[in-house]
Amino acid sequence: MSASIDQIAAARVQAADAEEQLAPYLAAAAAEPTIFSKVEAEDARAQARALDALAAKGQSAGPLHGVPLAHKDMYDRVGQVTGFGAKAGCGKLATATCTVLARLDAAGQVDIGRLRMSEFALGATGHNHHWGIPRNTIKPGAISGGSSSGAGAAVGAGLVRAALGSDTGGSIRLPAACNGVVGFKPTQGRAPVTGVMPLSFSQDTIGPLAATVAEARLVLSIIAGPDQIDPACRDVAPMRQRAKPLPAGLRVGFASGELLAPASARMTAAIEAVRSLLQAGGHATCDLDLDLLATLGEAANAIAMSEAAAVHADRLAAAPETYGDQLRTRLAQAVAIPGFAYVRARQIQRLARKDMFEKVFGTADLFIIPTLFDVPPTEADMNLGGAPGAAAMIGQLAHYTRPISVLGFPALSLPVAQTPEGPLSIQIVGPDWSEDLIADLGEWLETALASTFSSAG
Amino acid sequence: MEKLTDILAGRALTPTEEAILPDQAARTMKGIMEHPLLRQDVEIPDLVAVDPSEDRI
Repeated sequence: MSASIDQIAAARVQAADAEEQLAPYLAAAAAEPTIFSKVEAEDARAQARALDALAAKGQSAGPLHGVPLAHKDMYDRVGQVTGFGAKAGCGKLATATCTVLARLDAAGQVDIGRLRMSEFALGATGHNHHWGIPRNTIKPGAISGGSSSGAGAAVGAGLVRAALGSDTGGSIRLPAACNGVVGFKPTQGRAPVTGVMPLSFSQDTIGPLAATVAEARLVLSIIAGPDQIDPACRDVAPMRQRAKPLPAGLRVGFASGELLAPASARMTAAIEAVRSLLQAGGHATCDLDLDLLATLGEAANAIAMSEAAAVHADRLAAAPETYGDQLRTRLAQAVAIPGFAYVRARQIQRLARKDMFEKVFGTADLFIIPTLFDVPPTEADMNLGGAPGAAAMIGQLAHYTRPISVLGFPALSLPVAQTPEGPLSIQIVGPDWSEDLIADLGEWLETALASTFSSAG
Repeated sequence: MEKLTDILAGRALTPTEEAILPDQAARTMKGIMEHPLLRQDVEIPDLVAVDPSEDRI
C-alpha cells in the first residue's frame, strides 16, 4: 500500500476496480483496533461501487477517485455514530454529513473508517482513559501523540495515505511528528468546521496528516473554502493543488534566542542541517528573535480550556463520571480562570499577532522551529492520567505547537531526520493564508532531504 | 448552576486531582496577568496614583 494518492486514483479510474482493491485496506484496518475505532466496511464498499460505475463510463470523480482514506472519529457522516474518543455509549448518531467529508466524497475518496483519538480531542500524548493508546508505528513504546492519535498511526503504518485530524494546540502536528509523517495545520478559518466536534471556537482547525507534503496539500486544498454555514471560515483565494518552484528571494527565518533552549542537541542539529540545505540551494536564511512564542502557552491554554469548558459544561454537570480523569481535571481548570483573565488572554493573542507581523514577517516569509523538543517520549513516561504534573507535561509537549495555534498561523510538521530513538520533525510556519508557500517549501525540503539520505546511503 | 460549579471547581474530583488545581491556576493566571505585551497595550493603561486627600473617585 505504498502507492501515492495520484497513483492509486489513476489506477482505479483506469481499471474500475475500486471495490475489489478495497479488501486489503479493510482487512488491514480491522486488524488494528488500537488505531481504528470502527471500520465502516459496508459504507466503504457502497462508495467504491458507485465510483466503479463512474469509472466504467470513463469518468473520474476527482483527484481522490477510489483512494481509501480514514478520519479522526469526530467528523459526522449521516447514519454513522461519531464517537469523539468518548466512553462507550457516549457517541452521537449523525443526521448529516459534515462539509469536509462531503467534499472528500465528491473528490472520490473511499472512507474506510473512524480513527482513534484522545477523549474529546483534549490530549497531547495519545493516551485515552477509555480506549488506551494507538501503537507508535515507527518507534515501539513511544507515544502516538495526540489528539489525532489514530490518524498519525494510520498514516504511519501505511493503512491509508492521508487522514483528517484536528488541531487546537498541536493535535495534528504532534501525532504527525511522533509517527514520522506530515501534518498540515491550516490557518484558522481555512476549512469549515460544520458538522465537526467543537473544542475551542477560536483555535480549532482541521487538516490532514499524510505520507507526503504533496498529499497533505492535495487533501487540504479539497476541504478548504467557505460553506456558507460556518461563519468563521473565510472566503480567501483557494489553495493550489500542486507545487510551484520556490520564489527567488524567499527568506526563511530560524530561532536564535531562548526559544530553542528546551530542544535537544539532536533537534537543534537537525534544524541546522535544514538551514544548510536551504543555503546550499541558494535560499536566504536569517536569525529571528522568536522568544515571544515561549510566553504564549498560558494564554493559549486559558483560551482553549475556557472555551472547552463552555462546550462541555452541561454534560460535565449531568454525567461527570463519563469523563476520564485527565480530561475532567483539565476542564476543571476553567473555573480558576475568571472572565477578565480570558479577555486578557484574548488581548495577548491579538497583540502577539501584531508583534509577529511587525517583527517577524517583516523580516522573513516563513520560519522554522521544532515540532517536539526531541524524538517522541515513551508511553510510560507520559501516562500520567489526572495526576500532578499532567498539565505541565502537556504544556512541555506542546511548547512549540500551542503558540502557533493561539496565533492562528498555518504550520506544516515535516519529518527531517530519523534516529534510532525515533523521528525528528520541524514546523514550517507562515502568516495567515500562506499554506501554498509553506507546502512549496515543504516539498522542496522533502526532495532535498531524500537526495541527502540517498547520497549518504 | 451550583452543581455545575461544584463539579468544575473540583469537588467531583479525587483529592489528588483537587490538589493540582491551585498550582495550575496560579501558573495560568501569572502567565496571563503578568504578560509583558499587556503592559504595552493602551487598553490596559497604568493606573495613576492620586492623593487620597483630593477626594476624587
